[in-house]
Amino acid sequence: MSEEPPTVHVIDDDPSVRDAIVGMVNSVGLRVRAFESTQAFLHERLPDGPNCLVLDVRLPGLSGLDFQNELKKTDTPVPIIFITGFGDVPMTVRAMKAGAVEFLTKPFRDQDLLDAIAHALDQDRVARHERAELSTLRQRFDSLTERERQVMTFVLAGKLNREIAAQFGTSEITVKVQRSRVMRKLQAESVIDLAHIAAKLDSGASK
Amino acid sequence: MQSTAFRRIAVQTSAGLLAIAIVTAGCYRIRLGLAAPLCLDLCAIVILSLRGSFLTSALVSVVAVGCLDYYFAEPLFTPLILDPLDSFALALFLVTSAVVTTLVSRLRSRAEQLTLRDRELQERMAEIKRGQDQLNLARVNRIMLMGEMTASIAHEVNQPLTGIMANAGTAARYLSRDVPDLEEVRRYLGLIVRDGRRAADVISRIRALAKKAPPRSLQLDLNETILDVAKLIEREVHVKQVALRTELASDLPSVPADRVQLQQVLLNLIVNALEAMNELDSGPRELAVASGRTEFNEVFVEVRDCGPGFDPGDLDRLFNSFYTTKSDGMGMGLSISRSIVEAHGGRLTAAPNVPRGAAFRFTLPVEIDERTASSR
Repeated sequence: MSEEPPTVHVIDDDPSVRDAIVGMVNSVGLRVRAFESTQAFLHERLPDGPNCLVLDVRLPGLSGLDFQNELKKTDTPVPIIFITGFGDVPMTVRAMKAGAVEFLTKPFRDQDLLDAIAHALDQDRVARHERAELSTLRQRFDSLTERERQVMTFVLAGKLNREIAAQFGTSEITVKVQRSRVMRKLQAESVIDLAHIAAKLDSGASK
Repeated sequence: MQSTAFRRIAVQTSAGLLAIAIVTAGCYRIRLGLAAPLCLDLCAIVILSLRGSFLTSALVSVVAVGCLDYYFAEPLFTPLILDPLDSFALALFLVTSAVVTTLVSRLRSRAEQLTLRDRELQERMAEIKRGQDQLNLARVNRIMLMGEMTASIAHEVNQPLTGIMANAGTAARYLSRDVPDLEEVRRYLGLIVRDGRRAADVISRIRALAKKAPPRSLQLDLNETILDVAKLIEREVHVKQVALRTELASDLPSVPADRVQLQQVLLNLIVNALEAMNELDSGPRELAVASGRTEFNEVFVEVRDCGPGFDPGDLDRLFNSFYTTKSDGMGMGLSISRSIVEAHGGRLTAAPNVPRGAAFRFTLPVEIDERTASSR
């Protein structure tokens, strides 16, 4: 899979802070894009690679915390590092609970922000990998026929081919063929493997 | 007023005469000597002098002496007195009643004076207390405004500070490379200087605001004051997504005024306007601050917002102390602003803005130069 290099996105309306963060991230050799507002950020297409967002809590219009909630609703959530002038405890708790990677109070040590960025990019790399895996699995699952899905459910419930055949009123041979087709389409090597795949699909669907 | 005083004297005099008549008639009927009616009459006169005027008491005393002489001193029913003891008693009566009446009336006038002075003093004290309350409230209002501004100012200092720290780290990183990238180092040092200057600007603005009040006679450029205040609340305006427009007259004469107090008035009006537009869901968020001259040799400053405005029925109450439409307001801002403007010889008024919102406007007189005034 060809992947773009990691990108750090900075949203801060203050030029002093924005320029400084851009320079800092650049100096460690990471790609960085800066935005004045959340709207400007939303206009841009997110690069197809690990991303993270350095976000000022206090922004004109939608506040950073509200924007975090908006972003969570999209299908490509980005890990967020909050920076704020006056971080009170409730605000920090709210941001962290909503899944922020880090909450830094200005002025912060530059190493703290760089560490947080590295952490966030790793987190997104893992999340991207999981998302990609899940979407492959889903594609494979979607290729199953209605009957194959039913067979899969019974197999996972621990039913024998004979019992499944009796349930559908078909021959055992037919069930065997359908079952091997399920295994092949989902690229499962064993019933245990199949159970893993089903569990992943389940947790993906509940997200 | 005069007729009631006259009536009172008449009533008291008749009451005194009646008392003398009753005493005389009563004592005469039961055939008592001179001593008893003399004492009773004296009592009546003392009581009368406590309540009534000096004139009444004197008149009643003379009548009493006449009665006593006529009915009780030998020979009876003549103005003559045979017994020297009787003459002496009557003379003593007259002197005693005169002394008592004089003393009592003097005491009464002294007491009246004291009551009057006491009332005056109490009024004066209440006035001083009112003035102090007003002063205290003005201070509280100023402190509250400063508090509101402090959060904004702290943020303004913190921003460049964040930049400085981050840029210093970046410059250090470029320096510690195997081949130091001096071009980049120079660039980030430049940014540090820029941010440092920005922080220093903020500090000098706060210092200007917090400075002790200069003498009132200072000639003040109102446009400059408006720009100072606009700079102070720049951040609030930005965060609240308000477009601040200044329409300043270029030929504005300076006015004699206290800079800090006028800053406070302007801050009050602008913060009010910003808060009025806070609850706005749609429509433009425009705040205009205008200055200019009136035809009466005055300068004016006007603050217009696009908020919900005010009910014309509330116009009278708008400037009252403790009248507020804000949940957390004290209702002092406008009242204090008006007293500040009026102390400068100006007026602060409110009117609806077109097409919506409120417009607050204050005027200040331009002092005529004394030399040109006398040469006319």
